[in-house]
Amino acid sequence: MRRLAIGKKISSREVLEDLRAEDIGLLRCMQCGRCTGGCPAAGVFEDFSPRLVMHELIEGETENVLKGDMIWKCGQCYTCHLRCPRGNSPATVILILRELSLKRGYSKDKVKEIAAKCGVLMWKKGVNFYEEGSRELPDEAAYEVEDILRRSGYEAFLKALGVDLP
Amino acid sequence: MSECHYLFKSCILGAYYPEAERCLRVVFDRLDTQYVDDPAQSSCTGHGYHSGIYPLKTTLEVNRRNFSLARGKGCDDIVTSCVTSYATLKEMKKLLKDPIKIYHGLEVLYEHRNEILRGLKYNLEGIKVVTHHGCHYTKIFYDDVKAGDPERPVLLDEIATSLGGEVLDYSERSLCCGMGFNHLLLDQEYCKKIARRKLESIKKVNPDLILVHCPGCLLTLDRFQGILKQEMGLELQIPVLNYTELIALLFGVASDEIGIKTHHVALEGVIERIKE
Repeated sequence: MRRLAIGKKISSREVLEDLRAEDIGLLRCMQCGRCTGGCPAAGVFEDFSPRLVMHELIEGETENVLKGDMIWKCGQCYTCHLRCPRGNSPATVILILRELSLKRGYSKDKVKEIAAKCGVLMWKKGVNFYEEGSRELPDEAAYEVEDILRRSGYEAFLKALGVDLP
Repeated sequence: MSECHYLFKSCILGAYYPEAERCLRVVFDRLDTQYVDDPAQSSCTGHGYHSGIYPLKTTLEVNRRNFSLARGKGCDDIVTSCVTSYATLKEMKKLLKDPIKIYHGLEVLYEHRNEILRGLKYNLEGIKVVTHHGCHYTKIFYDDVKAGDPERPVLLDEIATSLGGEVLDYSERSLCCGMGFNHLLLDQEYCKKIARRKLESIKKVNPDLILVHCPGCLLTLDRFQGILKQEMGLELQIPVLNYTELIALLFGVASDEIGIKTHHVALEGVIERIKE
């Protein structure tokens, strides 16, 4: 359990231990709401607010956030990251939470379809997008990438999502 | 910047606008800028990484290989044609503490903007332009934005002006194009609503073209004009050009070689006016 300067607790050590959390000032959030004020996704989805994601996190409600829909509504434009007066990065926190959510076995339905498209293309061709005849890696390079994907745990990641590999 | 750039190719351009990517090479050749085009370079995973389908570890390891390939070719910088590659590589470089330098292709051409003027066959006189800088260029590593303020980057504006064009302002200038990563590949509600907000704000100032430097923005601002017309009856028809296509065109490269057939919104009208 870590204490916040404003007296609130954060329950997920895993979030703080992520390499990306090192300099994003997670614990400096003062709930000013500037992130939500400039957020395009908050204007599209009534129930989405980066400020609220941060609030849940600092209140120790990490599991709720990981199980919920909210983290999948962010469009990853990083306006919140640019504008946060405390140097926090809700967009980066959301990426960390997306990864944790999948690691816990939640949210599979949110990404399975995308992983079945882009992830499988990466595995086979070394690219995220492909159209008939478009650029793909030569065989030897594609095998190298496949080996890296396997060794970095990506094969297991896709299998856990229920995505079949060729 | 180093003598020889490792050219980092984009997945979206490769699949949907291959000529827009080829144009960067054409422009580099005209400017005598040295680069390595390595077929072994893989995707940075960026689009999938921001959609949540790659764990950090996988993105780190895939790009450790890309950095090593660049060094193996004698390059100490990587020049990307995509802004998400730019930001993803910068983030991974930082986390891996790798000394390699990362630039976006627009930054290289911005440095060469005076030489570009010497090679022009046409210019943008009488053409009204709006610009859109990609969020992953301006908003992630905001201290590195080469010209203007991160809230108001002006690389494309300065290039368009130096080419003779008139740059117009619009109210949603700093708004995301609407691409939204996972949203693009799922129900697209975010994409349609944000692209509409952006494009309607652009339509109000009635430009001849939208100038972009990001594959995702090109795809979204170009193709969603068709989707918005079909689903909501919105008449926009604003041509969208990648900076590489525009400069190649002004150098005198033929229209079909800059890939006008890959665009949803017809470019013939504005190209004819540029060539008048």
